[in-house]
Amino acid sequence: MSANGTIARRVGRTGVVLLVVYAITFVCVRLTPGNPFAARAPRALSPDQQARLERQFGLDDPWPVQFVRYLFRALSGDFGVSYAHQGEDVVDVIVARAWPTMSLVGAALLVGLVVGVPLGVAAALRNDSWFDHLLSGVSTLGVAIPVFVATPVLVIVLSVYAGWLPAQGWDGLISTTAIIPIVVLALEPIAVTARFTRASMIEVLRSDHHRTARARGLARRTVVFRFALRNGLVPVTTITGLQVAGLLGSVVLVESAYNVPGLGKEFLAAITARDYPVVMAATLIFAAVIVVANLLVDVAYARLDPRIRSA
Amino acid sequence: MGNTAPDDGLLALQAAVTRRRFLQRLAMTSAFGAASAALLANCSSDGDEGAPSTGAASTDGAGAATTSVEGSGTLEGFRVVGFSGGGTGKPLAELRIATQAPGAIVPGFAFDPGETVVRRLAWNSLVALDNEGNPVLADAESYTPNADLTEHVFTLRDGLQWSDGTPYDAQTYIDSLLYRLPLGGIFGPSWLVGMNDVLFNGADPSTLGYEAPDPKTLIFRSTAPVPFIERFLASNGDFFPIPMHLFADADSSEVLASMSDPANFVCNGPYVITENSPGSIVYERNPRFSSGGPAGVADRVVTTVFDAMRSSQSFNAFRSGELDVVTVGANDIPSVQADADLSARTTQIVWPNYNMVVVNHNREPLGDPRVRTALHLAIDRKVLAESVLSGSALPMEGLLSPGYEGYDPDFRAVDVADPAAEAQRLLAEAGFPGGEGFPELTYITQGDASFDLISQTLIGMWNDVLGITVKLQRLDPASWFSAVITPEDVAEWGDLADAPWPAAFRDPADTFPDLLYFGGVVYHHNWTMPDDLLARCEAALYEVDPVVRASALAEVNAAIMKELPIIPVTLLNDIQVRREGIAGQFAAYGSEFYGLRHVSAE
Repeated sequence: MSANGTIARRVGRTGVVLLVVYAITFVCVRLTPGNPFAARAPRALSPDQQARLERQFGLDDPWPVQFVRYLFRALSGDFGVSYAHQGEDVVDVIVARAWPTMSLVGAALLVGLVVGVPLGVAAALRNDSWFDHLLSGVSTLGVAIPVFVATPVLVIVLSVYAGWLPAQGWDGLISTTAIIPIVVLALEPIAVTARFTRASMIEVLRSDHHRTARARGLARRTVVFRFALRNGLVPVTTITGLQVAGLLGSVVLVESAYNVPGLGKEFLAAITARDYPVVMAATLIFAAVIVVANLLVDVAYARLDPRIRSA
Repeated sequence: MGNTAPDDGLLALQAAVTRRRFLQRLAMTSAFGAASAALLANCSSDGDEGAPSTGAASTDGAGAATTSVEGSGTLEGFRVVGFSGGGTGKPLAELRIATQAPGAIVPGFAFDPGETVVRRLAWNSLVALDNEGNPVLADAESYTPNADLTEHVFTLRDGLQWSDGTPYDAQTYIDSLLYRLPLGGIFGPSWLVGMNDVLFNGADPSTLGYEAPDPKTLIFRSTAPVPFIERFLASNGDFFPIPMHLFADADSSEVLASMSDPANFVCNGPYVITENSPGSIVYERNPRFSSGGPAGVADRVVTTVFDAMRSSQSFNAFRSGELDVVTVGANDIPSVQADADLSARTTQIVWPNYNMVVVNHNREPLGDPRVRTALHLAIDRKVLAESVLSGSALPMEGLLSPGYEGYDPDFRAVDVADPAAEAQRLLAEAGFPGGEGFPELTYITQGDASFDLISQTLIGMWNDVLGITVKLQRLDPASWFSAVITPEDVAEWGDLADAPWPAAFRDPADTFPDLLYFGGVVYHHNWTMPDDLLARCEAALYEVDPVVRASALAEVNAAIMKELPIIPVTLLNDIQVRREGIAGQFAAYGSEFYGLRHVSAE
């Protein structure tokens, strides 16, 4: 099958995945106890008031009708009106909050690669040295510390006591408010990338072709950076796709812990408020980002490894 | 004002109305009112802008705006303020406070702590509250009540205008209420003539006792004396006017969405919104502010949106210099107490935020009053308030809070020398000596950190004293709300539930009955108040003479607590810290009846 055919097939799978995610989210949201209107009112809604609101938002229709109607509207980009943000279109709610989230995820991923890959290479080149052991220990910590612990710890140390950074908020990616969330989010990608890079590089450096290249007189630097690194990065590329999924999970917690007005924080608030349209839209967007990221990784993987391409 | 008491016919009518409300709407209040997270930021001015009240009906329902507990000694470590006093310094250039995301930025379309902050800053009604929490006339220049306080005629000021320059008048007030009625956001008041019929029987809204005979006159007619109408109007968003020139011929959702853009935001309060983003809302002075209400203490107010206003996040933001005033949650109070500098800038605002345990009387053995009394007596409220909650609460023994007439700090629902021993004796008498054979109870909570702390402590105390096991079920607020108020779940909701309740609510006539015989938030305790007690309660609530009212309320409180339909636990207070150079403090959410606070430069 051609590369284009492969990509087309995966795009098709992406649609199926999103449809399944939509169906599961729809059912879960409707099965969750709680009323999207009751918690907004200072008193119990009368049956008339409740019925009027349900009619207004189309919640009085049978589930299958709602399911199909919402699906077709979503396909045309209409996610409805938020229950919690009265009058606001869900797309506007999402757009206003998507930039901080995507900025944080993108930046954390980039930092993970930029920092993790060199650390992994350095550890592989100094295999079994003190640096290698130190990196191993630190990367274990990076994976082990949950973001909801790391965030308040950094806030207490760097904001409350040192006074160097803000304790909360978001003034944009190029601002001091972005430092703590990016650092917290990047901890795991740095650790995972470094460990994968190290392991992969050690394997490549011990391979026959590496020995052969060295025996033929090529400089170590040339062998490492022109040949070994390219091979060593193939598995790192694979886990980068998975890291996007992990980061989207973590960013929900980090945004809440650091009071970043992003999509993750809004997602949690929407669940609490039973703001069904926002929950549906946010879930689909998160799912789409994960699926697309993995699709891109597959494409990149094929480009990096000719064996995959030919297969 | 004369001491007009409602006659028997009026009482009967009111009782009937109340019972109908119970059956028809299962009245309740919201979970968010409870307040752990709720703080209302009030930014009223130094008060010289506000025209004085006519004083014609200054005997407000809560009437406790001047009750002070200064130096009560029970709240060691903090300067304690009651319901009077506050900063009186110079206006600030900028004030930075915490808020929550408002459900809507126009009154009457949502009711939550965030909306309340917007309403305080950007909107105005006939009456506003001054620095000390006292009502002052705002859009109204005067009003006249009739002899028995069942009709109030308000005269509006000349030249009232919206921030876009459009004038408005009395008819705008009427149209604003009528516009929002069908949208499901109006919940009363039950005392307004015709309101219950309009809300629950589909009656024509033109039958409401709310009229504008001419552009300058508004008339309220009520089924009972309303001595608290000033405070009601100052704090009830349903009766705030909205810019009908925008809403009249448009879909409300579209107008609300349009107004979320500061360029299209139109209001009538002392501030207009100049920036509105998901993370913050910025207010600056309204150049067309035409009302007589307080004009605001700062030139610019920056509100940062948090999930909860009484959170560690906002406290950390305060400590790193990003907020000027913050309310501290129970978990962070030890940090404040350990810091001499912070303690010096800390104020404890006593306001009645009830925390109670609702008991499902339909579930045996909780229908047995001896069991309820045993549960009540097994709670060491002093330990809970002073140790577990670090002094940020007062023990609560009855249904009357410090803000209500008739409140007695020494009142005991069951006055015995050794409460624990009596609790054990009563449980044994009920057939469960040492807790033997007592079924495991479920206790539903809404997961808030402060209330969770209380719930876990109670479970420990019941186990220690009575030997019984109670299982905690933490639900998110919406699930908790659904579990305890949905009528069809009455039998299933469980045995016990936490019940926060802002006692200092908007309308004591609407609220206090809810608390008393609708079980607070109408959590289904399934206890029915006897008719004679109901009548006594109504009589007390609508009593105009504060002395008679206090006595009557105290008697009703004692009579109800004999039955222990719910178990009162604590009154949570606000611990507020402010940065150097600022005087005064904020009002707590829901405390409109008890006096609002403001901050200013020292």
